[in-house]
Amino acid sequence: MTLKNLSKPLNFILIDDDVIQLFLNKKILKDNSKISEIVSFSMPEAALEHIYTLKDVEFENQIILLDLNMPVMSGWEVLENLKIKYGESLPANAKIYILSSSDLPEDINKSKEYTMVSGFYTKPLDKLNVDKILETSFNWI
Amino acid sequence: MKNSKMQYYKSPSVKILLIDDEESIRENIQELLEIKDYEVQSAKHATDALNKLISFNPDLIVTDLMLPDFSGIELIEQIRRIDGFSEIPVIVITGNHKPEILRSSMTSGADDYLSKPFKANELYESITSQLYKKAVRKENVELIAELSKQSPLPIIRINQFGKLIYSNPAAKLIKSENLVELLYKKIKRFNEVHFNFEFPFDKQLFKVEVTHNSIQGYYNVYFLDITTEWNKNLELSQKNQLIQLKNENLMQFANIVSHDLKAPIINLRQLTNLIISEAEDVKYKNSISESLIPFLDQSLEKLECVMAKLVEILKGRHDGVANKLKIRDLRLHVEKQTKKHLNGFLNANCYLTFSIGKNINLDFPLTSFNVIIKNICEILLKFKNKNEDLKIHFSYSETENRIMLDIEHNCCLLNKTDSNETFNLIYKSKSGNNIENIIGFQTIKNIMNSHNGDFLFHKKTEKNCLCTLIFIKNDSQKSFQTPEFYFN
Repeated sequence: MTLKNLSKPLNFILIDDDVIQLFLNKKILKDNSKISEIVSFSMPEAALEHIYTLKDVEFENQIILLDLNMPVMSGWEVLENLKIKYGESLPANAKIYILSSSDLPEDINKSKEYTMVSGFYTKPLDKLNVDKILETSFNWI
Repeated sequence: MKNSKMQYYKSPSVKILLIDDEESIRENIQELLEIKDYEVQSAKHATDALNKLISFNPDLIVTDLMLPDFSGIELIEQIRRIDGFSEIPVIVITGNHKPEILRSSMTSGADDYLSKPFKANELYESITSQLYKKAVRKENVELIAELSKQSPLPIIRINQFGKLIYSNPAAKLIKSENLVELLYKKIKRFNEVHFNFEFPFDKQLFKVEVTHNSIQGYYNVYFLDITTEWNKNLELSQKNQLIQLKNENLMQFANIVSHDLKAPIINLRQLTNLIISEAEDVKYKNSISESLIPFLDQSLEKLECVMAKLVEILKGRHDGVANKLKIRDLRLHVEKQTKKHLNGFLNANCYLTFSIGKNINLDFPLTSFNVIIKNICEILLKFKNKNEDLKIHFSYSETENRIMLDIEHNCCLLNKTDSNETFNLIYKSKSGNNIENIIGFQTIKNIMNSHNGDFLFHKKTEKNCLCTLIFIKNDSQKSFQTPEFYFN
């Protein structure tokens, strides 16, 4: 963990069509004192619009939790859109984690094809997962 | 070959109908024909010829192309449509040498043509040749008729004008007046010598093989009844469709189970974990979120929808699986299972108020009792004793430097055999914390908070149905009457 990282707030963007999931995951993340801002979107298009408005500096310490199976725009489409906009990785090395109910090997392997995806978690999210995400993202625990 | 041709040429029985509007030419040709012993009748125009056709029944027709009432071409077309004359050889004689006129006369059914002026031999040769062709054609028809008579397969012959000229006995089984017409329409679309097509007809399906004799202009049509084969194929294709449907059904079922069903179950699991952790977490003791209840409800609703969808899919299988499957009322089941917890959740933000005398009320947040309530409910379910209520009796007392909380219950009276075990069950803690932390500490702390007091847990004593928690306090206060509440 760098001093620079410490000085910045740790922010989460949650993208999931299931509002209960958003509520629950928000609740779990809120319990972690290291996380300062959580923004959630049940519509991936709205999430993309929000992400596109972020300045490079705002991507620092930004983590996106992305669901895969969504009716209007799937998680894969979100990734493709981000790839078109930002290339292989997000600005300021912001992280994307897949949070899906799927545990299919093909989904896990496909997610590995995206450089910007840092990990794959199967629902439900719990405190241990959150700690692991923070640890692998910024060496925080 | 020449000899056999001559046979027809010399035949006295050969009848020729001659049509020409110019009397001198008509008489001249008739004379030439009669020299050769042909029986000749002449007509001066087309209508006259048509009138004489049936009664005279000629073997060959010689006609001028330019007739006063209608053209020779039209006459030929009309003759071809008359039964028994569709194959009659027709020789046209014309003074018009335009190739298109000649071509059109040939395509409309003329077998040969002679340009005026012509020599007598040319006429004789043409007649001989046409009579020969007719005889060969007849022989062929007879031969094929003889051969095809034995054939179990229907065989017919259609001429170039769509007229049926032969059908074998098997073909008579194909009963239809418009069969030939339908067939001919289909056949005309092909230009090959051999071709085949499928021909559905009157609940039957035939594979039709056609050979076209381009010289003599007829079509031999062989029918192969493939109805049974077709029905079998149809049956197979229906079975195949059913299998495909079942596969799609299965894929849909698998998809619903692997995703749609997973989602509400994950939510329920996460919600339950959250509620339990909040119930046990000191931080949430006053605020187990009532907002979780609608989410529980929504997740249950979603689960019910998904289950209904799965049942619908199973019904679509038409194999009775859905009938064998008895999906119990999920909501009732879950609610029954969670009833013992649900009361605690619903009352999570409520307080139980105990009047303990001296105008002092103690407010107990129910969260403090969630664990004990849950355990008591479990025990109640085990007791199955409907005649007596479970009674928990709290009695609170103080000495100069101690606070005592006696917790007495009648579990041992309800089930005397395992009172100790029951007692332990009531105060067991899921998190593994000891009883003092879960009940004594929290409860007393709440009480003391109401009185601005301060205390420290000292020890616990247990005797039969009575448990006493002793705390050391800094200031000695008053003694209190005992609160009491019941669970049904």
